[in-house]
Amino acid sequence: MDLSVYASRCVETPEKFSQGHRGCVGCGEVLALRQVFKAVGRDTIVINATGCMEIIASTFPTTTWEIPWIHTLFENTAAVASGIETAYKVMKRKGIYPKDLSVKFLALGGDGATADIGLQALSGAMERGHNFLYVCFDNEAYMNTGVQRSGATPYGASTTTSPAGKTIGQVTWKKNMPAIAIAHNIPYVATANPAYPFDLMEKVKKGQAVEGPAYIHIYSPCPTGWRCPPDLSIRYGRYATESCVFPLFEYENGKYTLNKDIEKPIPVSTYLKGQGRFRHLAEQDVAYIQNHVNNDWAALKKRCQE
Amino acid sequence: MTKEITITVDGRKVKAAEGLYLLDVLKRNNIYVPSLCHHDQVHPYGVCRICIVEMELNGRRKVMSSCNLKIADGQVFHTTSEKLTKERKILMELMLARSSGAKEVIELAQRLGVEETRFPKEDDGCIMCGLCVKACEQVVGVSAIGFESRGPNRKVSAPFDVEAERCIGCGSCVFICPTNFIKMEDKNHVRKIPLWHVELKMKQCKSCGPDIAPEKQLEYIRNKVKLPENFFDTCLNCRP
Ligand SMILES: Cc1ncc(C[n+]2csc(CCOP(=O)(O)OP(=O)(O)O)c2C)c(N)n1
Ligand code: SF4
Ligand code: SF4
Ligand code: FES
Repeated sequence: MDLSVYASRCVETPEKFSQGHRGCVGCGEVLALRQVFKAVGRDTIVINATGCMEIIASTFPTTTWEIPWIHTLFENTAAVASGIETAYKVMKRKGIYPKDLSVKFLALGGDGATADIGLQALSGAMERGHNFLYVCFDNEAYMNTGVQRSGATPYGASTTTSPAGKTIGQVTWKKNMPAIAIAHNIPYVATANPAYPFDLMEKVKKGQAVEGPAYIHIYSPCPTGWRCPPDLSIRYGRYATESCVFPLFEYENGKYTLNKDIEKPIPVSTYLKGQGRFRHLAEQDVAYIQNHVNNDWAALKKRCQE
Repeated sequence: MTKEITITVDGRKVKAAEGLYLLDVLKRNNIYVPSLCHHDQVHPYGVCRICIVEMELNGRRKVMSSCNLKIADGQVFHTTSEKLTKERKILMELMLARSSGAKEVIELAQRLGVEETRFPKEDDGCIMCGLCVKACEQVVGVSAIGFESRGPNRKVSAPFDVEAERCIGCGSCVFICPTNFIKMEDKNHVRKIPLWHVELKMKQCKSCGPDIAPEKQLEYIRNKVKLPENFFDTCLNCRP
């Protein structure tokens, strides 16, 4: 369902991530973050790992966060979220907080913070079943410190620590974070993409409403790190989903749902083309990626039909 | 510049620009008051009354809805009291009766301490908040739908309850409805909104095929912003 023009004007206008931050031109991660914030209430505590979103928005003595916000280290975001959520529960039980208080907890991290360094804490928090939503903004590398590869960097991408030359760039296939979250048997896991804002906001609402841990993996185009034109972030977002490189799906209480079925996927080459990080790929590399994407897509479709 | 004034809310001094609506000021200051028929994109309508607060007036407290109340300097408000809790609970019970299956309504009811309603229940009913009608009028600007009848029979509907001729199928009403009462479906290149008796043909991208949006909606936008005739022949991806 495409609600693009008018319905989008009915989305809440006050921003919880205000103007004046230092994000790059065309940053898809900021856009995704703003969309996430449009779907959450003001009674939300944000627990934010270090990474671009923290660095561009919190330079002392200014702040962009117009919502309760706590900055954490790389490795302990989910652990801090667990602590805050537990403390809140205890305070409520002891009658220190009023019974009708309804606070939600939203942990945010980049792909480095989520798929690599904070994974252990996240796994623990999901296992313990804390009532919180974890959102990973996946721009496919450690962007804030200058484009170092992460576990979520896609195969073939050139980064400063996986430069193309002796090797193809990133030599391994992208780590499948949503599958890792699903393996924890939590009530809600989803993928989202700021090129599909209504789908994204709906998922954030769902993730916040469920009892227990929820995980949303958001594709976040980064023109600086991907070396692509900054006015095309959203287009790359659409290409990623329409080529099945980044499918939109949901996992709810054991059931998979495909949110955007792609009848005729566009070729992966359309997506790769124009991004500097993939510029060196030869025809057979693209064919290899296409083949891998086809297989993953077929497997996902099968799971969604079960 | 607008004048800055000070009001008192629950004993706390709050500064705000003169002429703002109280509910907006409360939200901005993280003071929670429930609301249902309020939305930033439409003028306050003040029908659900769940946003009530008490205002001090000549030594007494008067109950008023906050979403449509313009503040003035020195006013004193209370957002919680036994009376307010009781009234909000009754209102919530009534709304829960009209729409007992809607997530947003259930959530708000629970938050206000209402688990059940004493009144006969409907599943997915309309709570008459008017947001769909207001959005269609003020956001979209086509006024395709309105209210019909009065009293208990009052309902939202297309004029004369036949096909809403002016509807462009944008889905704003569907999106804004807090109870999910308005359904919309895209199937076989047709968009249907049964409540308004609307079925609109979708336009396809000439170059890659998939549906873009209802033809009527694209025509409406094209005329409104004076775009070239062939502007919507292709989808976003295929446009340069
Ligand atoms: C333990 C630790 N190692 C390294 C850093 C330096 N550092 C700060 S932000 C950042 C990159 C974050 O990357 P990612 O989590 O992918 O988020 P992004 O910046 O891409 O949004 C690094 C390496 C740090 N703050 N703490
Ligand atoms: S879909 Fe039709 S009735 Fe609903 S807001 Fe748009 S034009 Fe109005
Ligand atoms: S249909 Fe929905 S938006 Fe319209 S008045 Fe009823 S509850 Fe409100
Ligand atoms: S929100 Fe004020 S009357 Fe409905």
